[in-house]
Amino acid sequence: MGGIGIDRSRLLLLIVFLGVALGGYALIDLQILAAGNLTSMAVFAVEVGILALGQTFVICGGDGGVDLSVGAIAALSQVLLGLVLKDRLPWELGVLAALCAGAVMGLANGLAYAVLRIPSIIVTLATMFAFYGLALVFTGGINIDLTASPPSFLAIGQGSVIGLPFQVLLIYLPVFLACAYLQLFTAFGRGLYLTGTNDLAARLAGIGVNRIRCLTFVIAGVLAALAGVVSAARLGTARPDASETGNLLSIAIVVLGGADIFGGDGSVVGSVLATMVIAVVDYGLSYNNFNPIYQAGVIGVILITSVMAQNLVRFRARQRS
Amino acid sequence: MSLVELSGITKHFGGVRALAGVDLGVEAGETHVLLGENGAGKSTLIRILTGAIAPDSGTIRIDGAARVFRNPQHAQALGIAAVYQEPLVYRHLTVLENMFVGQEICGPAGTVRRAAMAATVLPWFRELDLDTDLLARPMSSLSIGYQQLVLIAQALLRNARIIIFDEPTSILSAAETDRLFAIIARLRAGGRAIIYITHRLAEVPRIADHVTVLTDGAVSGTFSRGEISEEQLVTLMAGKARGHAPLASPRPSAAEAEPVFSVLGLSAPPYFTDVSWRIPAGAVTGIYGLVGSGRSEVALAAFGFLRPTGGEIRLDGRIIAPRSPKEAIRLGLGYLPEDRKLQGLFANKPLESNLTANVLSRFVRAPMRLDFGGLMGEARRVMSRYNIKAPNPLTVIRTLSGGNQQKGLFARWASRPFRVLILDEPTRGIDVHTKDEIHAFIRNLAASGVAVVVISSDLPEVLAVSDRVIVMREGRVVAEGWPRELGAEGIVAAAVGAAEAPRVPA
Repeated sequence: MGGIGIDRSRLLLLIVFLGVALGGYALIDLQILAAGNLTSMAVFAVEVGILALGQTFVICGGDGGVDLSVGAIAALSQVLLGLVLKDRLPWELGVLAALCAGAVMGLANGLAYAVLRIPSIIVTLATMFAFYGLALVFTGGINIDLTASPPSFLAIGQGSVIGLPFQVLLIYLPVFLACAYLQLFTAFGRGLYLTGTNDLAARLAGIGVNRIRCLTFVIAGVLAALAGVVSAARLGTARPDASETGNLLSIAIVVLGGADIFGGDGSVVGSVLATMVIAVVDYGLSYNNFNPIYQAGVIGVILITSVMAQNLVRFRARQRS
Repeated sequence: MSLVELSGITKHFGGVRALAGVDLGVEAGETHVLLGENGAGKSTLIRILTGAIAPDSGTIRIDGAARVFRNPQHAQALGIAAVYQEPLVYRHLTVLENMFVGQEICGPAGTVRRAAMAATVLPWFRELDLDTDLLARPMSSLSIGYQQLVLIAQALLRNARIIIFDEPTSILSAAETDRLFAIIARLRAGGRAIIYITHRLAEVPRIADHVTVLTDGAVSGTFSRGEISEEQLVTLMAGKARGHAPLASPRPSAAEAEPVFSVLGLSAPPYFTDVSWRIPAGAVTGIYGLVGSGRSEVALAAFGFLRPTGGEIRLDGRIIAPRSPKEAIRLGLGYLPEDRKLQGLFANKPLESNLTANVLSRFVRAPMRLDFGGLMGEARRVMSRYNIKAPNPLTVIRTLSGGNQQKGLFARWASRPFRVLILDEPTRGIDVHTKDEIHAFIRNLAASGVAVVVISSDLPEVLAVSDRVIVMREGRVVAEGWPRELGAEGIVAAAVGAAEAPRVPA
């Protein structure tokens, strides 16, 4: 009963979207519902899905908060991981280094926002360029080949457990559950919703508004680094330009998931459903041999349609009351 | 025949009566002062007169013809203009652009013709003794005083015949005020009708031809210049409060006890300077003052939201310096803020979240989990204790009546064991019944030993709940004493700065 920012009608709408998309593709070719295709969708969705989970916290904190640097954090963390692996150090150390680096980068974003009082859209725009820049400096612009890494590391992105992709079952699912718990069942989550709803009232009620918002950037940073680790293991390479679409796509997913871009509403549950919608639509377009250049446009159309549908529902509800 | 005449104007907001049948006539060539406390209905009257809102009933006549304003532009076209205390300007546009905003003189291709515009404003600038060099400067480079003059010039440019000044001097220096008064006199001599709103008594004899006192949404008298003394005006302004006896059972013993909480010589310019409050436990200390007198800012400073530049805050004799509301709450201070929507309400969140927002840490169980059962129980307990009418604790607070919303926010603070509780305008804009309920809760809090501070610009409220009263004006404490001794008139006189302010504390 903790979900004070959850809009059930929105979740329902997303499930309908998901059904329509899957059903529509199935009419063209029933094979899309085969297990192999569904797991492929899931594998592609995991990385941006993790970015979107972190983004949800930042946006929920309000004050127009967004993190434009999540993709860049993923890239730089991935590169650091790559450098550790190249030196033949234990891969666990590399993963730890990547996650710590993500936390530090998120903390830098959070402090610049909360202490220096720079709008987060500007802070993270700047750090996006900075982190990608550092990633290029560290690699000299060349991808680091990780295909010779220990198999136990590559399994993070390529292995499977009881028939399901490793990263879906053992990374995305636990991370989602932890995020949902944090957002919906803890004092931090409650404080975050109240902060996003009315930050002045929250501050006057004794809620540590700055600390909470700062923490959302740290969470987003750690999760972005995790996404970077997963993609490095999946592709067997560490790229200084990884996850470039993730910066904005993660925001689109969160908004599609029902979050109010001004904060205080929305949840990681909505973001997960929205990630699935995007994943299905995207995969289906490629699977049915639509020109990939349409994909970005389709995501835009979905975003606008969902917002319009939502407004229509609300308008009707208001007319009735 | 009056140039503008209002008769029987009424206006309600929700269940609250703002205006109860106001009659007002202003002649051409006259300065008519509208005098009243905060909440007397002055602003509502002006918003009606400028077409911003429509009255519930009553008529407005201009040159004898009844008019219904469709919108502010319509009122403007009929010759009404208003100059507010904080001028509404486009800061980054030049003075000339500001004057013509929306009504630029354009050439055939839609190009703006600056020279023609400058030529058009020239006579009005001369009339106001304004330098034409100003025209090219950005509005933001002008002082507030000059910005007001530019807006007066704009009103003249638009052929305003009725010019309303809404507390124009509250942020002007003495020299700027003198200049403004000279200009108002000139406008009046030019045959315009001036409506001048103020709560500063001292200004009345300087500019008024007539003065109308507005009390609690109704006219309590209209007088010619010289017909009425300052003391009589104070008596009229205190009007509704005079009928109210000060608190029936004051607790002088408690109120005279050593203060449990005090601010001593606290300053935070420009809001307030050298303010001392001594707040005893087990009693209600009323802080009376008009909006802008610095009373809320003192509270915000004590609550860790505003950083004072000097002075000290003491709780139980120890100096405290809370750096955030969070810290102040931990020390035992509570503060119900004055603006419900802006500073208090989580509008689209359930009542339960609103009631418990300041005590979440008490409901944390391992592992970091909030005890939702406990929160719901707490919400139910508070709802029944404070008689908050809502279907259940999960009802979104925005859907409740204003009175129940306010009771919810009041209960957020009143239901916790605070040592010191500062209630800022605890009953603003709610119905009489709920008001009485909250007043009873406030007395109970004091009886249970809490040091209660009630900040209010509602004099009957201050008299109804306070054991002791502190009056503030323009960032300073100007009077302090027992409500019976000060009396309603004495409190108002001190708050508005009438000549014979009683007993200023040493």
